[in-house]
Amino acid sequence: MDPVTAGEYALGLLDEAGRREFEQAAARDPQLQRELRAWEARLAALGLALKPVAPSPLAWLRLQRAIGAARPPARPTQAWAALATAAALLLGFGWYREASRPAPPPMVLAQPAPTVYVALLQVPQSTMNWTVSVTPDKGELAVLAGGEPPAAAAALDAELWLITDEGPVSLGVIPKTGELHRALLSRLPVATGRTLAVSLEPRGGSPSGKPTGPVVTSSALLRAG
Amino acid sequence: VNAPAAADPLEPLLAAVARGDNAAFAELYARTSPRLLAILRRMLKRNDWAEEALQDCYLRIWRRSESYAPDRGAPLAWLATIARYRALDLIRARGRQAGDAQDEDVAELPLADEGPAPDEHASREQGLDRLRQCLQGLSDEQRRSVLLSYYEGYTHTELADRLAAPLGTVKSWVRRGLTQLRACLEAV
Repeated sequence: MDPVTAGEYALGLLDEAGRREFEQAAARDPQLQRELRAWEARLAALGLALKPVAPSPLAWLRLQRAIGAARPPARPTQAWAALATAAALLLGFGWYREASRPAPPPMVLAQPAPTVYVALLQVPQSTMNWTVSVTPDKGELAVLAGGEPPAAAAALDAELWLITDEGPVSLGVIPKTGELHRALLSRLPVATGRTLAVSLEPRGGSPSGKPTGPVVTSSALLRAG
Repeated sequence: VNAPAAADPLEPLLAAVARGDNAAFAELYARTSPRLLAILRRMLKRNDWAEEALQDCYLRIWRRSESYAPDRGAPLAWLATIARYRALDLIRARGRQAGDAQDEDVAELPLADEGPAPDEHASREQGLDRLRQCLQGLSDEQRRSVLLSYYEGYTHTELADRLAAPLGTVKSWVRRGLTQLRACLEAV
């Protein structure tokens, strides 16, 4: 098998039979393995030439959860550590802002990262939690529900509130599993230290526009970027 | 093959990740995930698949089902390779997504003269300049074949369909292109 076949393999051009044949040959041929590594390194430049795309803020939290699933149950402090890391990540996102780097490419300067606020809302005596991120400049709200919803709350909806100087403002009903991306209806006084809270409400949310059911968790927003 | 001139800051980070250092892992993710996501989105066309694949790449790195060694090239190149193979696996398992026409246009490829300016940092560190020079030496068909197969993850058969050319012809474009590319890249 010649060096060019290693390049075809690295590109993914070979059909299944061709791939198997190459893998068997490479397994007993260190030179062919080196040739494959060399092709991978050569071709990687093409992928690294693409304009970087920042993952959604929730991607890191999902990754942490997936890692956590294979570990002993996380203590709350670890969850907070994960949130702090997420915040640091969003802050530093990253790569270009380091002082040691040369001037950032114009495409990055053209679109400064919007300010993102995050909060982790953990329900006490329960694994239920929500990770909330708010991007006021873009009018975006993202919520990622985690853990097991308490059975007692099965018939009720969870509603998210921002506590403003004028009292609680509803950010709408949020899911108990999965995630939610929603546009914020109006410009809200979102700032570091502002409190988010979740109350349990009748289906469809509070009928009065103010929390009517028990507040199951609350937490301060943290500026993350 | 291409020994980095200066120590790569990602190397100690990867070593720390291999020891289970979560802070190092977070930093690695922050620094490199936008690069990997760019590759995954280009190949997979779907955001949700790309983010899923991204998570899978970093899980593999964290769980050390993929491990870095200096003979794998520069760390960022190694990470890009993991992402690309992951995208190929997904395309094979789930089928190909039709991207919008503009996305698939070969003129959009960053190596085309009229294409968007590639990241300068990557150009210098990852040998893109050299690769670009060497690609210029290929015939149009050869260059197009190599670039389309890289960015779209085409098999020979798919590439022949896309280029509306006989399979044997396309195979020989690729082989000649790769042969010439290799010779050019090795001759420094």
